[in-house]
Amino acid sequence: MSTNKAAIVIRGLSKTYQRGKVRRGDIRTSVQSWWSGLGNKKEEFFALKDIDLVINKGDVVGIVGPNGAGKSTLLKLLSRITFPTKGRIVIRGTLSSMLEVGTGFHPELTGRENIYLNGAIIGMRREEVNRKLDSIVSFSGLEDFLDTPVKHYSSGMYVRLAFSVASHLEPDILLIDEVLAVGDHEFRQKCMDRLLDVSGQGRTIIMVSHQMSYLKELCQSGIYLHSGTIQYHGKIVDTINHYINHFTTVRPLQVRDRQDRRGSGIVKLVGFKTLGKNKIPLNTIAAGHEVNFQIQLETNSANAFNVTVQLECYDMYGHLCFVANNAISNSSLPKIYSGDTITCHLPKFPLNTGMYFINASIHVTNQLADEVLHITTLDVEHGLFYPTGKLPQANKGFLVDYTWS
Amino acid sequence: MAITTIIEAGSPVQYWRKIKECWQYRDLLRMLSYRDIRVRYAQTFLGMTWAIINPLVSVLLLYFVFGVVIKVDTQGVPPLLFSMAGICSWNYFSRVVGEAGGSVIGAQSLVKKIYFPRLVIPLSKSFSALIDLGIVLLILGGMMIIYQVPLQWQTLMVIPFTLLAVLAGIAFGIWVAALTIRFRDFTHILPLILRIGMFLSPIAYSSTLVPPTYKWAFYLNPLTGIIEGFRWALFNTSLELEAVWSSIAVILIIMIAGIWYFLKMDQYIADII
Repeated sequence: MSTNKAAIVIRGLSKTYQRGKVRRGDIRTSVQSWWSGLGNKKEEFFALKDIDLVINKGDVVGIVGPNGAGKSTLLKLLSRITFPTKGRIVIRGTLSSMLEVGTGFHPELTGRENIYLNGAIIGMRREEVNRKLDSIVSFSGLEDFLDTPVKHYSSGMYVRLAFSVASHLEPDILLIDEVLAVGDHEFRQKCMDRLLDVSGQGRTIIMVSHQMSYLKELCQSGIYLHSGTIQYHGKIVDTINHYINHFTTVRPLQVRDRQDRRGSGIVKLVGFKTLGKNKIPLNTIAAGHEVNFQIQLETNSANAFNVTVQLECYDMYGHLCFVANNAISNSSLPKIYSGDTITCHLPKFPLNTGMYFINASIHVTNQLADEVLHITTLDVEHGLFYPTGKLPQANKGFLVDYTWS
Repeated sequence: MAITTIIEAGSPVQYWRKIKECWQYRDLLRMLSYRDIRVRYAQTFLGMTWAIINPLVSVLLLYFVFGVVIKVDTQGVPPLLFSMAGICSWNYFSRVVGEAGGSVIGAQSLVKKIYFPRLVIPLSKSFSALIDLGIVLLILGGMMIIYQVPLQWQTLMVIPFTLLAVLAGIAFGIWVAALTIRFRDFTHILPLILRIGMFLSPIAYSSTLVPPTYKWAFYLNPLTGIIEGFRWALFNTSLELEAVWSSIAVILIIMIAGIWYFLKMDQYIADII
């Protein structure tokens, strides 16, 4: 790869954070840590570890990975919000980030004033905003509300205004962190068209999203991050496949070996299987079909009384979708023995298509015994929830039984 | 041709570059100040009138305590005018410092999401408070007409002393902003310090009343030189030059050190906050 084609060159980049204790605090802890000296070893973890990466000019790159993989940290380092612990980043050209909707808006100010405020925050000069004002306003379609305080705007109008300002920024490199997740479908399409248009002009775009469909559509290449390291860097389709495969195939076998647990360990989760009808293992779940989560438990204690198993299902944005807890629907298990399995039976899987993941935890007599985050990923596909086989717009919402008459 | 940015761990802080960046972001500085002014009085019933009521109440209170009850020596100046002239720069200063303290923490949703020179945040407070300073100065001007205070060449010296008050606000504002990020305790310490400062500044009394033994300490307060100078310009009250020089020196030292400390911490702000 020739380096003068590169927009971004990253060498040996690491970022560590201190676990638990952050560097802020009160004067007392500051004096204490000064007193106890620098020899005091603090517990650190790597948000990003020894990353090497070259991104070429004009590339549209999608970054995927589970929560906590370091995606946002990477964008923060590129945009200079935080500073690396180790390594070096060379950025050729101007760089800006597209802000999360509403950040830097003030509800008391009018739409017009907010355009200027937001523009200034993302680094536009006043003349630049003046020049682009008409275009921004017509893109947003909010001509009639320009002198209304934005607190009277609907959330949809808010999104339009914010995105219209941001999409008029003309940096060489643009960072987008999950901002396309909001807004109505039509406007989102308009934004995407503009984004694609923008990338056609040789602009480099780096975006983080959990919406694989958007990434597939927008990006050429992809980066799959996991635990702060780059697992895969290549074509976007291959990257997404790597990301999905990593969970759907490898994870169930690995539960026993997972070290990142919390809890006393009296009872441990050692196996997790996603099964369909007649206990057939599933790689993907069809919306509306039968699903069974089979959990294998192990204990080395004779005191494993009152065992509660809880499964929490989250969508890829980290929103809780449902909780399945045996103590709520039935009652906790009075006593378990090593090798016992417990199965959670969902007769009709209620979530729309998309990616979800499950956190599992076990409580023994109300004490946390074990917790495995992201024990499995659920890839939900189209299924016969409704007799027509149709489903509402992808990746959103619950499915409920209803009839029209 | 294109700008190349190099971010390297452990590289020394580029102070000059960061200061230049603040200039590049002057539109942001302006918009943040504008926002503060717009929002401060929005939705309040009396609106901008509050900018008049607040200083007036302080002045009447000081006038009552120092002018009516204690009857301090005002060197022939009407006590009400004397206090009014004293409170102009103090009000401005305490407003700037008070608001700058929590300013970066208050803007954390921005600070964590986008890069811009963070120094702009406390700086914007010193600009947004100028509107209140302007209003107080107008009231003072009105009162001087009522009291028929004669104007002279000296009156023009009000301008440099007002500027000095702005610089003092900037200097201390940067410090308290930086310290509040680092130590949250400052949210509690700051109002206390400002209250002490109000009584230790010669707002409603003259620093000539301070015993000579303590005078050096009194002059370390940069507001002493500013307030006394301001009054000297308007009413030709006595002014000791040491007060002015020490005020200038203290402000400069505090400002340079403040900018240095703030910029040194700059790269950690998003992690700490």
